[in-house]
Formats: sequence, structure tokens, C-alpha cells
Amino acid sequence: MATATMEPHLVESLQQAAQEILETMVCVSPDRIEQVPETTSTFTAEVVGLLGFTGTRTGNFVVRAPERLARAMVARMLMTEPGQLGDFAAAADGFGELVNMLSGNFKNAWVAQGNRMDLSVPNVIHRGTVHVDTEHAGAQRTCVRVTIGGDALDIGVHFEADGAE
Amino acid sequence: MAKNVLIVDDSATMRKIIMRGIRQAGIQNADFKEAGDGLEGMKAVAAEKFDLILSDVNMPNMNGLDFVKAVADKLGAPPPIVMITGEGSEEVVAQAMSRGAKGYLKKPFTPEKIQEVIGPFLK
Repeated sequence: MATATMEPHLVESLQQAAQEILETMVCVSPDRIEQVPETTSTFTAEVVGLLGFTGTRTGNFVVRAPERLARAMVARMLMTEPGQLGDFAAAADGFGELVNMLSGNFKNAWVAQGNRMDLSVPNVIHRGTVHVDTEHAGAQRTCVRVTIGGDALDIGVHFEADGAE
Repeated sequence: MAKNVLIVDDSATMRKIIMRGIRQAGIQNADFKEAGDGLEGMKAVAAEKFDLILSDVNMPNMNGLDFVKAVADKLGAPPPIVMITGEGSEEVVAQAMSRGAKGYLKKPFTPEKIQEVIGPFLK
């Protein structure tokens, strides 16, 4: 496996962003936030939030969660109950906003190093499979796992190989 | 007298959170209108007068930076525009300010921060 992980301070900034966003906007205190190996670039999850970026590096944020957790987080953001959200569209919108905030905060740490990053808008895939291209030499990827009530929110950041402009 | 506030954000969830946050910040004199992107925001601005505009940056169709410039170009003397964004980098803030924004609020935000940044525009 030629794929490398990321600099510790970028991982740390992602962990801090996750903690702050979840506590402030979702009103939940995570049980645990930790870096875990990102062993694949193909993801099948109940909910996958995908947000691409270009700039100094090209890549994607790939944020995964079980639907139960995604609905619970969005319901807390809206101060309602998960059952009140209705169909998945409302949960997808809120989950996309979480991905947006996480990526925006990661961007701040990245740009502070003199890099550039232009973000796409988030896409949320419900019960699908997503593949990102980070299997080649020079690619970098990491994952921060946030555990909330026994469920895991996985926040993956993937830099593609040869991403420089 | 109630202040007319336009919230431009592609996330309906975030628009609701912003409205709730403003109320939680103790600002009760705001009437809200919503737009899902810069193009919808321009239609709203053409249709009525606002005391304050709150705009996301990263949106489809017309992003927040282009929206700020378009409002300034259209109105000449636009209402204050505050950017609400997860992208708090100096570059984005500088771009927004150079195009006419009067402030920015970084996500995630607290009611205290809302009061500090938005409160002065709604007195």
C-alpha cells in the first residue's frame, strides 16, 4: 500500500473541528474521537457525504454514518426528534451541512499552511457505494472516527496522487 | 419595528439553525426571508428591501462571493451583508469584504457569537 496518512496537525485540526461542530451545532458530546486507519477507497455505508476539492491537492472528503446516527444528529441540529424528519431528504440536507462545516474547518488549517483549497458543494448518497481514487503512490488519506452512543461517524479525507495543479 | 432579514444558504437545515440562533441570541425583532442560493437571493433583493442579508459562501448556481458583488452592483447602496461560512480563511474573508460584505460569522457558531457579529446590525 503506497498510500500515506496525513500530517499529525491536520488530523488534529480535523478532530478539533469535529468536536467543536458536534458540540456547538449538534449539541452532542462525542464519546470518543480518534484517528483510525483509512484502509480502503471504496465505501458502502447507509449514508455517505461526499465533498470534492481542488487546489494545491485534489481530493475528497468522504464522511460516513449509519442512517440512525445521521438522522439523530440532524434531528438534534433542528431540535426535533428523528421521527419528525420525515423522508431522508431532510436528513440528507443536514448531513450535507455537517460535511460542509467539517471540510470548511479542515480547509482553514490547510490554507493556513500556505495551500489553496476550493470546495465543491456536498453530495449525500443514501445506501450507495462511493469510490475515490486514492490507491496510487503519492495519495494520502486519513480518517477520524467519532463515536456517539455506540455508532461511528467516520470522517475521511483523501488527497489524490498527482493532485498538484 | 421588525427588521427584514434575508438568509441565503443552500441548506434548509442551516437556514433554520441560523434563525433559531438569532432568536437564542436574544434578537427578537427580525422577520426572516429565505433563499436557496445567490440567484434566488437576487430575486428576493429585487422584490423587497432588506435591513440585513446573511449569506453562505459555498453554494451552487451563484456562490456567496458572487452574490455579494451582484447585490452591490444592483443596489449601489446595499444593506449590510454578513457572510456565514465554515471557510473562515483570511483569503475568503478578504474577498468577501472587498466585494462589499460588512462582516462574517464562522460556522460553527454560538448565540453569543451571533449577538456579537449580527446584533449590531439589527439594533
